[in-house]
Amino acid sequence: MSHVSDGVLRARFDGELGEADLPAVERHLSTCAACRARADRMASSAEAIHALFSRQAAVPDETGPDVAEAFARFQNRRKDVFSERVPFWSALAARMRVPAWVAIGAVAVVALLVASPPTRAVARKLLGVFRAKTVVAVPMDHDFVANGKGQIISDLLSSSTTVTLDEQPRDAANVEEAALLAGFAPRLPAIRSDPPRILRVEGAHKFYLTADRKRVESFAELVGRPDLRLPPELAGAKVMVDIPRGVRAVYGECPDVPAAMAQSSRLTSCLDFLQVPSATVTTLPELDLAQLAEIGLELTGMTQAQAQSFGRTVDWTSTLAIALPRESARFDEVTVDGQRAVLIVGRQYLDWPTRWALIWVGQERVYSLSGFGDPQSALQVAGSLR
Amino acid sequence: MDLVFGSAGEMALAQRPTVAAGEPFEASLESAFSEYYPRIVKVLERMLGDSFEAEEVATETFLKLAAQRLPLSEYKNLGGWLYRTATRLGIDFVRAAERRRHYERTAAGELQTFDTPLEQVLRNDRVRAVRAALARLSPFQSQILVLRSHGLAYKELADALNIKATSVGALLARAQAAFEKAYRLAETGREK
Repeated sequence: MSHVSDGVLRARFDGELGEADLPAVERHLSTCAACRARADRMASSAEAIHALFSRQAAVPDETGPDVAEAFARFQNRRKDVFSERVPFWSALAARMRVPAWVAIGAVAVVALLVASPPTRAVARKLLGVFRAKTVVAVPMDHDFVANGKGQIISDLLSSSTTVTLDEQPRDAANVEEAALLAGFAPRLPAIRSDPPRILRVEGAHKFYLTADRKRVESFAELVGRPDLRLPPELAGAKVMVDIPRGVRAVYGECPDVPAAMAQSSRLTSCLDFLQVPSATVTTLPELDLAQLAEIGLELTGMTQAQAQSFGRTVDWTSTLAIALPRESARFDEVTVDGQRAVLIVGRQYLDWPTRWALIWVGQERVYSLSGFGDPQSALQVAGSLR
Repeated sequence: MDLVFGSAGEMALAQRPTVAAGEPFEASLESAFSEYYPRIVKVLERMLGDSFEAEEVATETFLKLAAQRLPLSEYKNLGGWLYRTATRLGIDFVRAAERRRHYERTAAGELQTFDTPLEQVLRNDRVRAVRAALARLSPFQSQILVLRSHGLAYKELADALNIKATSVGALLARAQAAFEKAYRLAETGREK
């Protein structure tokens, strides 16, 4: 018999060599030292590669994905063209529903409200009333979400939500009507000569959340971080959230059939602009926001030292925090209306056009502008707002 | 209740595509999802080294399946279709991520490199090297290696990848050699 091929050696290693071939191969190997050496080499290389892939998959305290949650997310995305086609968008929208990225308590409520770029929420300290004046981006580790810590924090707050006002959105015929309905004159980008394809007044919402006493007390155990104890006064604390009406303007050819995604040149005309007067978040004045924020930052993947030094640069009572999954988006700090703004750029996915979002707070309003293509165009559009 | 209103989900589109599929399709889709999703995520974790991304790509895979609008009974081998599609999307994802890597490095800022536990640093480096190596292989080679490591038998590999069962050994041997070479390159040629 001639020497054994690599393919046969590999099949032998995998136990996939046919009964008919095996004896002849073994016989040859018993007499051919060179082939035996190749077989050993093949086996150790195959094992090494298998070990590498297995360690890729290794996640500590692995419980596997939550299939029910995954199915719900999948169904959600099927309904939504944008997120169905643009994973970055879905990462921001679907994943960031969990209100936890940034911090717990009132700050978490803020995160919950701003969880997706149509940004909503906010903070100014005035006997425990917060209103956003600026915006900051916080990078977030994936395993924070993957290990279900986000869900724990979500449960902490959302298990007891009472909605007191939940208005439906209404389409406006023109800017004047939108201004009348919303109660403020919306700004629109002068750079666009086309009229908005959709001009919609988003409804006002009011609700309050109560931090679950038991969950607050067992929080450290739940997240597996005995060092992260929540302040006891958070237990049973009430957080009131009041979001006024906002105005959304959608321009251009936003895709409404998936096939349109392929035509990236058309997508660059798509623009989605949302403006909402800063919501108010009211909670107990004795809650130490900075402390809560630091706990939140540690949970998103920072070390204690990082959380402290980062936390000190931010006034949590007036800052809108946007948490971003590290691998799904990059962000830059830019200036819009003389204010600090966050430009989020989605990671390139396949050959789909890049998605971007620009978020800032100015004149007591939170602005969110998003579109496709060159992220720099966001600044031009924002610069042309009248 | 869902507290996030005005989310991206309501991107204010006038005409959304209606999911006009019949009930049986929806029911079979749900049962296929429950059956295969965890496995698909596992395979993708092997490839991507990241469970968040693995779930993202797994979801994309099922979106693709749903978009086919084909009764699931029409698939000769649904598992094979899902494995093939998922690993192909996964490898496209890895390649795109590799192209963009320098962006991400600047984007993530200092926070992530500073004070990271050693174990994590080593894992990150290893994950990066595996991904860089996979990106250098042909998509098919990456697929066959990862699926084999996931535990597919030769017959299953042949079904999933549309190849002959008798050539699986030879294709694996070739992919393995290519991976070894690419991995060594990725490890030594690492910029960091």
